[in-house]
Amino acid sequence: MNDVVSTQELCKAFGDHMAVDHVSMTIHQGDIYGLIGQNGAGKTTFMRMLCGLAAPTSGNMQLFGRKDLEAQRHKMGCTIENPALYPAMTAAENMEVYRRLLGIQDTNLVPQLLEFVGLHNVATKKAKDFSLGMKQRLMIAIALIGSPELLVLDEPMNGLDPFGIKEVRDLLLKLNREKHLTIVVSSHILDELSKIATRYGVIHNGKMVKEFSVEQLDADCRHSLRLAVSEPEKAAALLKQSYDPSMKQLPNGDILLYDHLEQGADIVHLMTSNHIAVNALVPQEQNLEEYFMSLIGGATA
Amino acid sequence: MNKNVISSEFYKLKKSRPFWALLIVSAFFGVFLPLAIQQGVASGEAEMKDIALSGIEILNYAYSMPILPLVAAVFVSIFVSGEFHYGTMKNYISKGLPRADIFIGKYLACAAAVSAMFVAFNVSLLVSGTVLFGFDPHGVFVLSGFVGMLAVAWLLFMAYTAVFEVVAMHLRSNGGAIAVNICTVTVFPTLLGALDFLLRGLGVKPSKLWISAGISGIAKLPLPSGALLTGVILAVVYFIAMHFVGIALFRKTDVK
Repeated sequence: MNDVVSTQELCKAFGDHMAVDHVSMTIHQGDIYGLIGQNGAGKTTFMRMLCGLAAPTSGNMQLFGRKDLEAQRHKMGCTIENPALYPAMTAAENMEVYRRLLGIQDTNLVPQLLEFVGLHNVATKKAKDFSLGMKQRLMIAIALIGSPELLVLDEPMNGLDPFGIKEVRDLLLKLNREKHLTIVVSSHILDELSKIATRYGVIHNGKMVKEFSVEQLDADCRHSLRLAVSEPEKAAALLKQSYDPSMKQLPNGDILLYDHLEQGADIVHLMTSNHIAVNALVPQEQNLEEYFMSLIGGATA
Repeated sequence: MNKNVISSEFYKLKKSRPFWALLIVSAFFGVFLPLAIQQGVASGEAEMKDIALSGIEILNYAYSMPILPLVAAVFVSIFVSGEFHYGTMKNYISKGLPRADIFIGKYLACAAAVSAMFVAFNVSLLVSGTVLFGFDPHGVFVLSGFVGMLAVAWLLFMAYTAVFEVVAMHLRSNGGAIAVNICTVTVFPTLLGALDFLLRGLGVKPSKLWISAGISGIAKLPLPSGALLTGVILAVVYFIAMHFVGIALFRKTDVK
């Protein structure tokens, strides 16, 4: 699997504040990589370094396996923070600026891309009259000029209504499936991100806390029984001896059982018959948001 | 130099409303100024008596006022800092273009726009001045001197353009860039004039080293000896210095 982006110990400091703190990560070809973090966690700064808008203080970065970053950025399309458009120009004129900038001769490219993002009917409308959702889609169309292989989108769903969010989400899936684009996307709307992302990176206080695939997320967040008992070690040994279940012991002593979920009554009987008090037996399932909170220490699992 | 950057910048210039508006303003001033002077003379204003009136001499008089530098300052400020204001500079840089190419492409578009304003101002001034006062009733016109004056004035405006671009690139806000660039044309020469007094003992005159001094120096026909050469040197020095400073600053700075 080819790495489209890889960073080693990447840092960005603003004075004494480390906005990005020794971040090492990889993004594989074909990924929809969801970058998750609180406000000020360092997501945007990291993406700005990726796009060449900010210089790293230290560390290394490779794009498409190469270190000549400026040249490799020709294969990237980026939208960082708010949609950046010329408000007095129409949608088609905004795109024409970048078609010329990249020296693309094909004049049909602009209408084709506007059609792809569903803006062909408003090609002659000025960007200042666009809704936020339309601006986001126009920005994605601009990012697609030059047939990029990597799309970097910072909060593309920010400020959108549910309909706009669905439009952008569907567009990103279409780009990934039809144009085989690798996409890095940050979003606060974790529920939406979980509908498209194939891999995730969690940034907290500038540090990369964890990278995981959607399969790992499913495994970590699958249905479980949470067992709170008086003697966790003894209970874990008994469970292993009797059921040999897939389980995990949490730092607070609670036990998470991932199978034998329908045998709750038998498990309680096993515990009580061995003089272990069962304080709680709770069926549970984590979503991405809860998993994220557990990773950054905002809530217990 | 990346010709695609130039093509893109000139496309934006063609679509820029401030450019077309300020081009009209330049032509308007070229017509308005001779009319205003004629009205002043006709009404017997004492300070108007000493002004030599002809199409050619009104050009000299107009250069002594910072009309075109102010128009150019406003345009360059809007055209350059607008890229940061709207965030579109991020799109440019993230496409992997060398920042020096972006700076030079932007400069060439600004230089073309200021040149167009220079032509509009001078042509309308010359035509309306000639219609009102005649072309050269006092016999001061010499073709080589006239062409030299226009050419050096244009070079000095190109140097001004480079200064305005560096200020706008560095400040990155429309209001801030317009304010500072207007001060560059109006307040800064006054400050340098004050420094002349302070440094009189050393025989140094800082005000002579500024672009506006170069423009004032050639705003006389027949041209004083050495005025053209001084103007050319000032223009070239500021042009080169501003490009070095501008590109170095732009390369170093993060773009938000």
